Amino acid sequence: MQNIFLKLVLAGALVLLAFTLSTPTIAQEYAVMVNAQNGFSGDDNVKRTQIKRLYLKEQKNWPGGVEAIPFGREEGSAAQQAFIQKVLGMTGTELEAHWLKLKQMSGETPPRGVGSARILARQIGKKPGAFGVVQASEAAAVEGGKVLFEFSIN
Amino acid sequence: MKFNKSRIVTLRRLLLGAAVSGLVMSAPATSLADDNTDAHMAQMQRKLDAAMVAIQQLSSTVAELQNEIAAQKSHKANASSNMGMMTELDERVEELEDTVDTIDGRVGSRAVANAFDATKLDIGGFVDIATTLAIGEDKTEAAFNREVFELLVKAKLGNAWDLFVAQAFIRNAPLKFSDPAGRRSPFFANNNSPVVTDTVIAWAQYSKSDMFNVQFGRFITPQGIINIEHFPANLLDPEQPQFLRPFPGQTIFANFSDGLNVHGSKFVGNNKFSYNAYAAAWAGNSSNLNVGGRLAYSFVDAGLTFGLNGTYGDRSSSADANFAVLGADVLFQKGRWIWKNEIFLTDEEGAPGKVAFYTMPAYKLSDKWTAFYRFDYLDTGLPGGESVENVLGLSFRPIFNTHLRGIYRWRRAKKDVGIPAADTHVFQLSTTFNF
Repeated sequence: MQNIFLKLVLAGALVLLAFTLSTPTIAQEYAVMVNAQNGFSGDDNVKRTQIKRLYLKEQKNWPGGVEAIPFGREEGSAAQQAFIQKVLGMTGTELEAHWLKLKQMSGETPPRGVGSARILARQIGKKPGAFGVVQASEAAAVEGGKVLFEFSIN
Repeated sequence: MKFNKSRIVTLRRLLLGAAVSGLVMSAPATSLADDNTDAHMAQMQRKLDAAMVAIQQLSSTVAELQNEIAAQKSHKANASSNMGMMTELDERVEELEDTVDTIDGRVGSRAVANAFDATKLDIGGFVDIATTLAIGEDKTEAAFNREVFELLVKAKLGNAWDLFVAQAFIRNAPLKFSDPAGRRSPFFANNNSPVVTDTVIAWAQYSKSDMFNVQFGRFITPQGIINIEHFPANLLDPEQPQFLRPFPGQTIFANFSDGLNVHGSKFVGNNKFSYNAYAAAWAGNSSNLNVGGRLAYSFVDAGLTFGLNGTYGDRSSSADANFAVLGADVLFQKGRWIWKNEIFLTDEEGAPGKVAFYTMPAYKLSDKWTAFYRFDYLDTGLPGGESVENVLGLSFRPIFNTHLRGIYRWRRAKKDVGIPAADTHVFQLSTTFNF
């Protein structure tokens, strides 16, 4: 009787373990959007590097001369955190130190953080040099915009 | 009044059945008399016509009812569609209200500043406070509390035009020595001096592209690494290396220049090239123009930047004191390491040349804590002008805009002919608040 009980407990534990291991982690998909007129091309790595330079204001113009208009997302939002981690490849502290340094040396400020995806989409659609990050599911609604590249975060 | 479709169909069937039954019931008997046949036929025809009229009327009524039901259904569908639109509109209005509230907070009645003629205006600054204790070779002690408040203002004047001003309010005193050889008895010069103001930076810039920008006015002399970073908020040690002290410093080159600076940068693959070329006078000697420049190349992936610096000019407005400066710097910044190195050599007219060198490795213990060390060598070429500093420090950033530091500095003035070596120990606690 005791053996049967033990076997049942073990079987239950195994089933629970298998269930836990088989449960997929949910990845959130994001898209970096640019204006539809933006002709910048390259592989995914080149595009990410370009976006990083422009967002950090290490470069102020797109290759070709169009003035870059970077947009961030609301501070602390999931989209902004994903962008910092996956596209900029920085921690929040490193990014803050970067802006602090730039502020002191040349008076530069971080790109405007936009809370609403719709308002961001409208800005990207209207301004040729604009870019920003939205959830991939929101990308289709960006009139006058297109996806430069997508990335995901768990 | 609401009708179910199946009920309508049933009603129609009943009415039709009743009409047909009535017709049949009212039909004449089978024993038809020949003379009455025509009359009966006419009567039946009339009744049939009346029944047809009744059927048509009933059909019309049914059709009207069906139309009414269809209209009601359509109304329901429209109402459902309208509800969706209303929800979306509500969401949009909420977003707009949030946005308006944010904008109102920035430019509305609570706005702290408005731009007069600039298209954009940013205001910030920092406060740097330090308390310092110096103990000299002869055990003399000197202490000083420094306060620096700087206001940074950036204005966008037009599409390609910017203005940047750093106005400082400073209570500061350089560490000096009162003994004849100037190395044993420390004191802080101008210890009781009031707050002075200084326009540290005031330049306007025209930007043609990333590669071509023209800056004119007062700018930080673009030489080396630390002088360009310059501000306490950016520095692990707010006391810059010996060759940049005391402010505005012309030991090797001046901290600030008044004139024209052309600069730019270009990415070459993953690497970055940048340049500066300037023609400017230095504070304290505005009658002589100095020319200089800097070339830097960064291997971004490796975290390495190499720089070459050069300046030629005249140090004195009253005598011939031409000079040439050559310098090189290497910066390694990757992962937890930051390692800065600079070397400068000068050739002076009518005076011995100068040599300055430092190496400063720093290691990030965590996001907030950084430990650093600096070996700092300066030889002014003058008798007793050779000195070495070993600096050990710990930097703590509890939040991103606050910087606290504890620093120990051991300064050794090296012995020279007839002059013994002398040590000074300097302890400093400092904090920088940025806003």
